[in-house]
Amino acid sequence: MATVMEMPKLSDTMKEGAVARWLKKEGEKVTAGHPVVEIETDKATMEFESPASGTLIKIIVGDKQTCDLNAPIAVIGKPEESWQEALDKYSSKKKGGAAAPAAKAAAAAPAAATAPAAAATTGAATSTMGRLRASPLAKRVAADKGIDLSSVQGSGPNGRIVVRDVENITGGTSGGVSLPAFSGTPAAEMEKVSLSMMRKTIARRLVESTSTAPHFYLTVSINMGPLLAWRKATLSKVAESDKFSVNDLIVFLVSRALRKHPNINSSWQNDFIAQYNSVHMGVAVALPAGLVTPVVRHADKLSLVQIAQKNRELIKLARDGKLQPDDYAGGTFTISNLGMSGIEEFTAIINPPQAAILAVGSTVATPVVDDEGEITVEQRMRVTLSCDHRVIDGAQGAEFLKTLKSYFEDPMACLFMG
Amino acid sequence: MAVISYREALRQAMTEEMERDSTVFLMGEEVGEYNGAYKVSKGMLQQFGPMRVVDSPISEAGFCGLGVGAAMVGMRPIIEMMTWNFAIQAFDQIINHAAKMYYMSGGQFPIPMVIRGPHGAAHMLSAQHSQCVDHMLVNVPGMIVISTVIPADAKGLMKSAIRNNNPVCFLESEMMYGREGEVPDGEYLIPIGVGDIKRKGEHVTLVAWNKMVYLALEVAEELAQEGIEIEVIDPRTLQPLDENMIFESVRKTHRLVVLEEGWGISTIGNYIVDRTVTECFDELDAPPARVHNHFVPMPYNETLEHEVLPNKERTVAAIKKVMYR
Repeated sequence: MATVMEMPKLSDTMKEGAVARWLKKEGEKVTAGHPVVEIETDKATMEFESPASGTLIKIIVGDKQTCDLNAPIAVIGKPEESWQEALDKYSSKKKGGAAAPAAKAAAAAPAAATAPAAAATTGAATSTMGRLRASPLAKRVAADKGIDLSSVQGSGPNGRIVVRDVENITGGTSGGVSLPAFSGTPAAEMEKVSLSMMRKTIARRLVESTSTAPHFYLTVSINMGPLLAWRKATLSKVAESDKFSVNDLIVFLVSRALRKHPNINSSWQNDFIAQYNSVHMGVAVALPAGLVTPVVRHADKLSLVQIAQKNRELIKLARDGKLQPDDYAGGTFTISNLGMSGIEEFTAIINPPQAAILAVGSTVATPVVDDEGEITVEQRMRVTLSCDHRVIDGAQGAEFLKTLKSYFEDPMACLFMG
Repeated sequence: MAVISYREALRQAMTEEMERDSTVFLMGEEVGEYNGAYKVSKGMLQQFGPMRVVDSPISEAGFCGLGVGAAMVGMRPIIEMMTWNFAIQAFDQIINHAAKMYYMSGGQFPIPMVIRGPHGAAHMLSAQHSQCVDHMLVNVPGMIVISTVIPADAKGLMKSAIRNNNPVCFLESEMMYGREGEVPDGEYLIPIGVGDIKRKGEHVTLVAWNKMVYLALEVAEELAQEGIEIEVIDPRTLQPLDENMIFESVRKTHRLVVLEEGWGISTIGNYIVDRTVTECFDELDAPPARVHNHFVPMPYNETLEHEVLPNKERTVAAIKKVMYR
């Protein structure tokens, strides 16, 4: 019997899936457990295994096409089998109990009724085949608003997108972000850039963050001189494989500071606040297509060298688009470092459901008035903590930054950190 | 403005036109001595005498042909059909003669004739006496088709029909002759080919004519309670049809339902849907829906008759379907 292959849910945040590329063509043999397709999730492109052995008799969702989670994407069976039949059987089975009374009613109706009933069944089956169904008006409104219909869930029959589905789009609810129409901008003066899964996820999650978490920001300036000197001295003595960057140092010190302030390493959960015992540190990595935050697990328990190794590994996977869901799920805090881009100071949007994010600026030679009233030049780095005020109050955030500043400015104390 | 019945409005229009123009006359079965099968011509024999209110033999083809001949020599006949079911007897005169004479005579013989009578189902008259022919009539070039049961519209359009130089088929309704409404006194003309918005609404365009207008208004009233605002459009004239009024409404509501009496195949409703889909494709949010008779000969049984005719239940269902409710 033929097997219908569904669009898998490969990450918790995945709302729809896209086929990046089929590794097999229609008519080719496939083996259960062997990769047959590459699926583009909101974070990465992953190989996905065939659920059965046999022949790939039908590809329903082709390369670069998008569909809902658990929608059929292919049929695997014997070459002589009908994929349409297998799909019909699959659809009626999927409808399950709900379809049974309807089928019964159709059977009781006179013969004349059977033709439309049969037509309806085929209609339902074809609707799951990846073709986008939208009313002409919905298409026009979506085009006017610049909404990508493939990101919209249709509420009409057979999943048809109707005008209320595109009218009601507000940030973060339907995967699309409603924007004012580009009225007055001639079409020739703009280029339509289609949305990648990653772009859509960034848009959805950040709108969710700014619209639900009340942000406030605390900035502190850190004297980096002693730490940078220590790093320079140390690097000259360690093996190539043990080398660490300033960013690795930041991850190391921030995770230690968080261990001391679990109220910052937390998350708003509507009816309670979760305070995490471990620090799983998200590190924002810029990619040409967007941004991912792979997670250094148990960062507070890893040594500096281990953190450096883990960071190198994750950044490479991120740049190659090979991150697995486990690599970017479950962070408890995030660091966004634009220091290397010459940004002196900025504010970041919290990565939900975390309660805070640290925005790290570049280290700049800065004139400072010291305790004796003398002007000296110091290597200064400004960091800004964005806090979810539902979880963190100003004083708590300030306490955390005070600890963080002391760690940065007294590298010798690092010797005593586990 | 007086409140009078639909039959009185028709009579007022005919009487005023006969007083105004001596070439206008009324002919049909029992229009004189009996005052009309449905009393539309009550008292007209007394007022105008037997030369202008003529009782005809029971032969629709015959007296309809007399009407065509009279029109050819300069008269303006009003031919009353006891019902449009019987007018089928006269279809050769209507379609082959009245509609084509002006064209085939190279413009020598205009046919300023009105053929009028009740159309569609009445109540429990069974299969042969309950049908609609409006969709057949609009399909013949050379004729005007008017279908209205609102008293004021009936007066204004009947007067325009009598003054028009083309054959006009005027479709009435037996069930509506007693319905009353405000009708302007004296000279009141409604231009042929202009529809009327009977109720304003923003959610669905519901096109209905003849007695279906009353059903449409009843449904609109009921669904307004649920927050669905229906725009009821009565084209009043079916040929030529006021398409732009329908298009303008659909461009606002994005949804169309056509409610019409008669079987559903190759009808005016089909035509309206076709034209709307062509002209307003990008405006539609749902496939247009139609409500019409079931495709069976009209049963005599009262319960079955209600089921076969367009009714409130099916109209509400169609509205909700295009609303995705």
